Amino acid sequence: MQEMIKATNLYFGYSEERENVLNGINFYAKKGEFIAVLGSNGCGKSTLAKHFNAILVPEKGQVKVCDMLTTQEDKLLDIRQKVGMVFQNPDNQIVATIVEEDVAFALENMGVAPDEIRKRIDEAMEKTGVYKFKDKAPHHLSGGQKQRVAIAGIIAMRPDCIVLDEPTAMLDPEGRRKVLKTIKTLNKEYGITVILITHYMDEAAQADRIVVMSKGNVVKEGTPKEIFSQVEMVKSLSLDVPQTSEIAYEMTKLGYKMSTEAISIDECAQQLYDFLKG
Amino acid sequence: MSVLKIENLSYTYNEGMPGATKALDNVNLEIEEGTFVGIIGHTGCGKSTLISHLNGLTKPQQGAIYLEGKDIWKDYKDIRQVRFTVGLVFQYPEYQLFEETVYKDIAFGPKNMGLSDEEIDKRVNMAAEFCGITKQMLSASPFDLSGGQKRRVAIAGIIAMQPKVLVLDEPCAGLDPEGREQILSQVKNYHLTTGGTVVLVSHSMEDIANYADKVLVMDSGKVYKYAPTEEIFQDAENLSKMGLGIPDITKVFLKLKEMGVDINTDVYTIPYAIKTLLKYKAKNGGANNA
Amino acid sequence: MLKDITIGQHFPGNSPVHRLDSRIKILVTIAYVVFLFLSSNIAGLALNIIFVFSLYMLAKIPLKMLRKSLKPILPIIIFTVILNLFFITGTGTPLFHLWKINIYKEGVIFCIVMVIRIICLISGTSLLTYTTSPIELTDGMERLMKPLEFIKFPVHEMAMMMTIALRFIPTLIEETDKIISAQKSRGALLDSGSFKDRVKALVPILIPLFISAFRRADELATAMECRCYHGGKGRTRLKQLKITGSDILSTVICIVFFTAVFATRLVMPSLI
Repeated sequence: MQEMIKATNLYFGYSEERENVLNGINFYAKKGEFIAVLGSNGCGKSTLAKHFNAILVPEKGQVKVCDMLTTQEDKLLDIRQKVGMVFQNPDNQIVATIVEEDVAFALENMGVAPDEIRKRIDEAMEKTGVYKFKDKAPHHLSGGQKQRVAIAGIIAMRPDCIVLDEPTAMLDPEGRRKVLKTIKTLNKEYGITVILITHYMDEAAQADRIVVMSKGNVVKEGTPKEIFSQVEMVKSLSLDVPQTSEIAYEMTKLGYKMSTEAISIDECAQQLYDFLKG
Repeated sequence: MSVLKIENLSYTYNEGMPGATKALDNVNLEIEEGTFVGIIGHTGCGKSTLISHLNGLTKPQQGAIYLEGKDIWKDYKDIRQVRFTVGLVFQYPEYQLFEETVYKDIAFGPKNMGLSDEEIDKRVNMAAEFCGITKQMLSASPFDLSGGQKRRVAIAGIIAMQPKVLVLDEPCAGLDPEGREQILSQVKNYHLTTGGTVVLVSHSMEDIANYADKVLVMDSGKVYKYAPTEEIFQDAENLSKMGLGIPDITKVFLKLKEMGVDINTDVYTIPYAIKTLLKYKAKNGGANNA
Repeated sequence: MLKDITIGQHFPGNSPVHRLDSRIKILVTIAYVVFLFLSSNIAGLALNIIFVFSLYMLAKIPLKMLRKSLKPILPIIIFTVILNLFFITGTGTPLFHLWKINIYKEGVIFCIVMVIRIICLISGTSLLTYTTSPIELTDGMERLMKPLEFIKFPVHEMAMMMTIALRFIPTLIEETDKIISAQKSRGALLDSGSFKDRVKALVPILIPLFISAFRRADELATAMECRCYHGGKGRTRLKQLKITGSDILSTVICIVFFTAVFATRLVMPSLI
């Protein structure tokens, strides 16, 4: 499969005096993949994300987006159109005072013709389920709705990849669920590559691949099953495992052999069912 | 004795205007001294309005709030005293830090109380210790700290007032699992050591389940249920229907029940889940073998 | 409370007033203000009142909103009235006198004219913001000021700044409310004490507010860059402003009105 993003031997530090935030990290994302990036605060995940669309450029090493180097100045706008980014605080990424105007912002910057803008924003708002708020003012929306507006503003650019930096951290469970559903739809139905940075293990559990970061490097990667079944390793990185893996782990410790790979509710229930009826 | 008593409290935003919304609808509640109360409910259920009444930031439109048996609005001048007695930690409290040093910021509350320098010093150190703030951090600028550290400084600023009731609105929002765990266990430790009453507002059922003795579930401005934690989770199915994110483990047990296993579904923590599983196994497993 | 501020608020709608091209609306509002101060006789003032109130009817803006936006300037109106009432001396005999102050007919008339003008001024300019979304407003201004680009005036940047300011006003008001509550919870005294104490009490509010505003600005700048923002060059707009037949018709009606107001000056004597 084609590689969407490839970071090779990447180093980055914000200032001379402090330690490097990224220490020779290698990272790749294949086209159409759904990747979750985990790691405790300060492990460098946000800094890494900002390299994917040339908001930051490497000190050493390189980042390639669809075979374009992020250091190529003339390719800057192409790269940003290909890789869209959504941040934690929905309030601080909405520019316009009306939802549809905000969704159109990127296209206006790209110089798209007005008729085409209209077509593309309507499509983007449909995909993210915010069409019904198109004439509203952003401050009248809930956090989850605002975050979906922000996603729509990115989708309107028709990117190949969307990077989300803790998009659900400030939302309530309802908002979280809807945002995650939107992200999954974009990935599954429209084939957009998704890189989701999150602290929520249940969100990460839905990804195709999990990348665990610590101190500016990738320390572990694999499918959610592979990662979360290693309960001790995950906990040693001060992260959490889903309760489904945890109960299997605790039961195994008590001498009742269970698989920590059963991370979905159904799998876990089935396993416990077998235990109870066995 | 109940430390806080809320009687027939109602509150409507934009009263008399077209966009009027009833945030609180005849709420009655008693919080016993020394309990750890969790409040859950989805956005807009009135929990923020409720807690802003507890320390007299909002004046009730109807009903009254009694702090240790005394109506807090009986004497308007006493309202500041109420705010020292019921310490309120807002959501994202790190955004209220403003002093040059962490020490000074924590001392802001006690200073407003008019305490002596000696007493202030004692309280700042006490609060810092509860919140895991080192001596070195005390002399640093709050703006040089990490997000989680800032949050702990802000909480220490309230604890330093030594409130009888500590109210926290979503103290873990936006933190990583380690940061969440740290803050909650510090709050719990504070609760156990001082015996103070704690009210914790959270969207996370897991957190509430792990820490609270008693839970208040709010729904559209009303008290849906106010009961000990175990009792609340007996109703897990309905909570789930209300759109509250119930813990995964509770979901698993609901699923088990759906699969035909006659098991208690009031499970909300891992240890309790294991206990329930083994109990069931011991009772029914034996029968199967026989 | 801070949230009650209505100036600059927008009431979405689909009336002819709402639909009118924002450039025309801005120009008409400016002209209206000029002609309002040119009208000084009964007919002229009556025309102004009729004009602005029929537009309110047409735009379906509840008059309650108008009352709300007039409330904050009530002290100014009262102050003007008192000042003029007491200090304008007329010819003839005073209407009546209070203690040592004489009140003349001219003073009373002058006050009435002033009050009508202030009310019409506020209602007219508020109508512009009520019926025009802030973004249309900035858009209109940006286009009206376009010629200034020749003298290197940063028209686009100014417009962008205004849009962002408008977007963040509600957010920052909410934030201020929150910070005030948070500091009050720590026992901050905000509304008592000497002037010096009150100024000092603002520090715990202003510092967090500024820090937060800077943080927001920083994050917003990154988010804008992520969406390919690179200044005004080569930018297109979702909403194109096109002058339509009804725009021209409305302009003609307004011109007729302005001419009428001016004509009253020629045929009727001034009241003041």
